[in-house]
Parts: sequence; structure tokens; C-alpha cells
Amino acid sequence: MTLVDKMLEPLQYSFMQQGLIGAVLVGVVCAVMGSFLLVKRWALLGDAISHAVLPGVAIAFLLGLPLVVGALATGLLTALGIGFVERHTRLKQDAAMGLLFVSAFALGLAIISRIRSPVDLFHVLFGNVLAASREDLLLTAASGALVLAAIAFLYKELLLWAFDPIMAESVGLPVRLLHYVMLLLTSLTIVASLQAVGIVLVIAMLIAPPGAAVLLTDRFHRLVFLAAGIGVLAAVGGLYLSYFLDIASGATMVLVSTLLFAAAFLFAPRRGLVPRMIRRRRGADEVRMIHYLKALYSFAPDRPASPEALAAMLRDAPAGAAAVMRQLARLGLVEIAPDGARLTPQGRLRAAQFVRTHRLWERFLVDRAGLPWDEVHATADRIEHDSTPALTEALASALGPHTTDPHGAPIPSREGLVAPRQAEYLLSELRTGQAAVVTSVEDEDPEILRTLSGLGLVPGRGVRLVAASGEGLLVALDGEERPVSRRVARSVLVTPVG
Amino acid sequence: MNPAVEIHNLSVMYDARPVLLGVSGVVGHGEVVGIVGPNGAGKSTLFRSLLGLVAPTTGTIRLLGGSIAAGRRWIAYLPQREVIDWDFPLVVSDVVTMGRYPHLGWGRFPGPADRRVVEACMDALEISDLRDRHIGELSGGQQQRTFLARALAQNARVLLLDEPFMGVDAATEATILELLRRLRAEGKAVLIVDHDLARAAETCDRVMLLNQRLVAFGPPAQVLTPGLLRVTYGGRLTPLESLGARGPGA
Repeated sequence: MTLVDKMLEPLQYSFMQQGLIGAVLVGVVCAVMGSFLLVKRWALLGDAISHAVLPGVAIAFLLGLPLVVGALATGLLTALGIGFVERHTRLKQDAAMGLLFVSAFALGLAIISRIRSPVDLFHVLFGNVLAASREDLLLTAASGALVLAAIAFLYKELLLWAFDPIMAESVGLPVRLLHYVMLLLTSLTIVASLQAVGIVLVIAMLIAPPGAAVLLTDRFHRLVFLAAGIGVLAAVGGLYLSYFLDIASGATMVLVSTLLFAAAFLFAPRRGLVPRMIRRRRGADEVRMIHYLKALYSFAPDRPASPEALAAMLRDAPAGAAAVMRQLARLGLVEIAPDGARLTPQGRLRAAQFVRTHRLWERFLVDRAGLPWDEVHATADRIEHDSTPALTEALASALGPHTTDPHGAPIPSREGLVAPRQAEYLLSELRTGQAAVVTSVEDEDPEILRTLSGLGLVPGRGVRLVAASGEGLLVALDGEERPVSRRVARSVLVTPVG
Repeated sequence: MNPAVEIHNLSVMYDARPVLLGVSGVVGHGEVVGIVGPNGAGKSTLFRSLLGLVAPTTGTIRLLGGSIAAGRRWIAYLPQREVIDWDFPLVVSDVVTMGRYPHLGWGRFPGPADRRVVEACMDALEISDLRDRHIGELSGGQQQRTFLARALAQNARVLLLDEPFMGVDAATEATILELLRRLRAEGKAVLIVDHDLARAAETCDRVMLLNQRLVAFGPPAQVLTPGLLRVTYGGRLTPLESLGARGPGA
């Protein structure tokens, strides 16, 4: 038996044929009506009206009236009652709703329990589309058609009223009338769905399909059509599931529609959780690769970098460092050898470009934005990842010719080249009495940077080593002798003079 | 031709609390009128009355020589941004298209002619390239322009702008100012609430000082004076001081 045969098998039964027609009708009508309830923020009112239909069904049965008349009457009365309580008491809408719809529901239960009616309570509450008679189906079709026709005719008025009630009223739309028409249409929709999903479950068919659709589109008219499609899928899918798994059909329809909502919530291309996470993850990966490129750049071109050394520099795990190296190697930016990783010429160029962007931003933040030099490293790190090459070059020409960043580190050219510099030594490597000029300072630790600017140990300053001991150095700056701790001294690079 | 707006002895009470008392004034076609006054002065109530959203307790309003009901299709309102649901599933062109709704009968949808108007209005406010952008993804200035384009698409003869400069960028401010000049040239009547007195003095033909009652109504140079502003703001000098030496009458 093929899948197609399997899918066609239930259709040989007339109750399934009728059930399917009913399911499609309910799927469409609920979703279209629900689209308006959703944007008008009337979802709970829909729930309230649906519960309030119960006493109407019971009373209509008592009086020998068509059930639909009673259902409409109590549904509308409750909706009006909610508005009345809201206007004339200090209760807000949520409290007024909670009060009235449960009361109406209780009244319905009370009547039904008293009269022992053949109205099958379970069917009214939870629906059973497979038990629908021809008349039931006709009623569903008629009320559904009425709802759809009314919405098609009033589409732009309802949309304007839902989005901007002030404009709707000021251009002369009868907004009170529209309000009541919406209540009436909501009640009619619920009556139409009574047979299929029942009054307790109908709210899911009203809200889940447009709820899923709103994650898939930015435009209301598309939302309505999408919601209708999702509604049909949920109703028909639910019915099949009910047939094959022998589960109550109202329940399966609601579950499938919720499942479809969950799918949209997770996987909608722009707004879904998973695509958003993937995008964020990709961004984070890229930032990490840039950090590693820059770390490799700080090694001399002929010296390989081991994953352990890189990991220590970036406070990462060696395994993580090795993984990033493999990623970079796949991109042709890094060569991996047994003794460690080296930048390829292309990798060196890319790294130099990132370093260039970073150091230009630091220049800008200190020179133009007036930020202290100990704060700009982290800020430049963040801006750097989002700077396009064009922005970097615009920044470079705005800043004018500069060869170093505020910490004295050289700014590579656009081609990734750095002007040859005299050999740099650590401050502590100077001989006692030897004079030097500070060329650059390590820029990652704000605290050390603040200490250095307090001391005056900044790029361009002349310095002489007076004495060195295990604890620290004594240096002369402009003839004044000052102590410098070993930790701070490690961050200062100098070029000896004379 | 009848004046665009005629207000005669308008009073509005909310629960026996007066909000507007005996306000009168006439706004002509092609006139930009600034409305200036402290919070609670009745500026919004004046707008709501003109839109037919609140009924006058006493007095009358005539729009384009007729009743509000007869003229309401020709009056457009720029809402304050806080009252809009920015999550609503609409893109820029959808909102601008709503400006055509008052001109379409029941059950009618916008046609090619309406779409042309919508295009032109988006062009005028330089938002054509944002046409498919969701309204929640716009900057404050772009949101403001979208709603101005909608008012334009409505082809309104009377425009009520409630703080259109609130929280917009310099480019949008320039666009709005340019639009005001154009509307004036096209003979539209514009009423505009603006707290920036210096800008009001430059942009408006006349200024209405309002604090429940009409304090003064005339050309900016005659109306935006320290004495009248003090009366309007009830002795609180904040906006007056902010006007500084730059303001008229100083």
C-alpha cells in the first residue's frame, strides 16, 4: 500500500468526506477572522465569546430554537456586557472578561446538567467534526461564507480601524458599528467552528495560524492568506491524525496548529529562533577568527605559533585555538605545520587590514572623540568588526597621515605594509644609565595604561634607566627619578638613543 | 472661497471640567498656524474637536465652509508616535496607501490611480526605497515621514500635525520644513503643535497661544512676546527662557 493509497483510504467513508469539508471550512474561517483578532489584540475576547456561547446553546435547545440563534445571542450579550462592565466600573477589560465569560460558561453548564439534554456536552465543548450531520455542515458553510464575505467587503475599513482607530473615526468610519460587526463576526465564526473543534478549543484555531503567519510576513494581506493556508493544513492534518491514531479530532487539529506555530517560531527565515541563533553564531565565529588573525600577526613572520601560545594570548582553550586554525586554514589564511601555524601572505594582508582598522579607530577615538587612551582598545575592538574597507579608508583620510596608534603601535598601510622601525627593546632590557625613547606601550590593560600616563611613560618620551632590582626599576624622566614596577615595565617598549 | 477652518466660541468640557473655553479663530487656505501652550492647555482637545472625535459643549466648528461631517474626508491627522502599534504587520507602502481609503467607497480596493498617488507621496518624502520595509524597522524620522506621506496621499486640505518634530533627525526636520512650504504653496491649511518657539516663529504664518482660553492669535512677531508667553505659561518661564535672545520680540 503506497502512501497515496494510505492518504486516500479514509476518503471512502462519507463521514470522512464530510469531516474533511468541515475541517477545511473551519480552518479558513477561523484563520481569517483570527488574523483580525490578533492585530486588534482581541484574542482573549475571542476566547471569552466562545465560552459564552454555551448557555445560548442550552437555552436554544430548551426553547426549541435553532442552536445557532442561542449561541449568537449569548455570545454577543457577553461581549456587550464586558464593554458595559468596563465602562461603568473600575474594572479593566481583562477582569471584566474573566468575570463574565466564566459566569456565562457556568450558567451553560448549570442548564445542561439540569435538563439532561441530548445536546452532547462533550461535542459542544471539544468538537467532533466526524459526527457532523449534513445540516451541521451546511450551517458551518453558511456562517463561514457570511464571515468571509463580510470581511472581504469591509477589509480596508477593518484594517484601518484596527491599525489607527483615530484616523478611522476622523475620516468618518462608523467605528462603533465596526466594533459590533467584529463582535458579530467573531460570534459567527465560533458558531461555525462549534461542530469541528468546540468552544473550548476554538481559540487555538483562531490564534495559532495567524500567530504563525505573522512570523513569516510583514504585510497584513499576505498574513491573512498565509494564515488561511496554515489553518487548512492544521485542520486537515489534524483530521488525518485523528483517523490514523484514533484520537479526538478537535484535539489533534489544535495540536497540529500549535505544532505549526512552533515550527514557524523556531524556523521562520527572518524571525525564527534558529535562523536568528545561526546568524548570531556566525557573527561570533567571525569575530573570533579576526582575534586569532590579529594574534598571529603579532608573531614575527618566520616564527610559527603553537595553538597553546595562541590560546594563552586570547585566554581560550588550546583545542578551541586549534579548531579556529583549521577554519582559517580552510579559508587559505593560515598554513599549519607540525611546529605551529603561520599566516599565508593572504592571511597576513587580511590581518594587517584588521589591525589597520583597529588602530585607526583608536586614533580617532583619542584624537577626535577625546576619549582617554586607556579606554579605546575595547571600543575599537567592537567597532572594527563592523567597519567596511571603504569606512576604514574614509577614516584614514579624515585623520590625515598617522603612522602610529595612540599607544605607539604602527598603523599598517592599506597594502598591509609597515614602515621599517628601529629595533625595540623592553624597558627592563636597557643597561643601567642607558637612555632611550619610548616607542610603544601594550594597550590591553586599562589599569596599566592609567599608571603609565600618570608616570608620563608615553610614546615619544625620553627615558633613562637609573637602577634595576628584583622588585622594579628606577627610571629618570626629564631629570626626575621615578620607580616603576616590573609588571608595568613589561608593557613598555623603547629604542635606545646614543 | 470659504476659510479652511472656522472656530467660533468653542468650549469643551470633560466631566464638567473645562478643557477649552470660548476659543475662536479662523485659519485660511495656504496658512501654517502654530499652536503653542503648556501641557494640558487643550491643544490635543482642539485637534480632537476638529477631527470630530469630541463634541463641542458650546460653540461651532466649520470645516471648508460646511459641517465637520461633510468635510472630514479632507482633514488629515499626524498621530503622535507613541499611539501607534509598531508591531502591526504593515510595510511603509501599506500605511501610505491608507491615505487613499477615505476616497474609496465601501468594498472598493485601491486602483492604479491610487497607487500612482501613493508613489508620488512616497517620493515627496523620500521614502520610496523604504516601501517594503516593515514599519517597526524604521527610524523615528522615517516613521514620521511615512505618516506624513499618508496625510499627503489623503490629499487633505486641512492637516493637523501633533508635534511632528518630536524625536526626529535633522534630515527629517529639513524634509518636514520643506513639506510645510510646499503645502502652503498648494493652498493647504496646516495646524501644527510645536514646543520649539524659535522654530515656530520661523515656520508659521500665525501662532495661536492657547491655555484653555485663547491668549493671542496673530503673526509670530506680535504674539511670541515675553508678556504674552508669560500669560500663556502661567508665569512659568521655561520655554520663554529657552527662546533666549534668538526669539522674536527679544
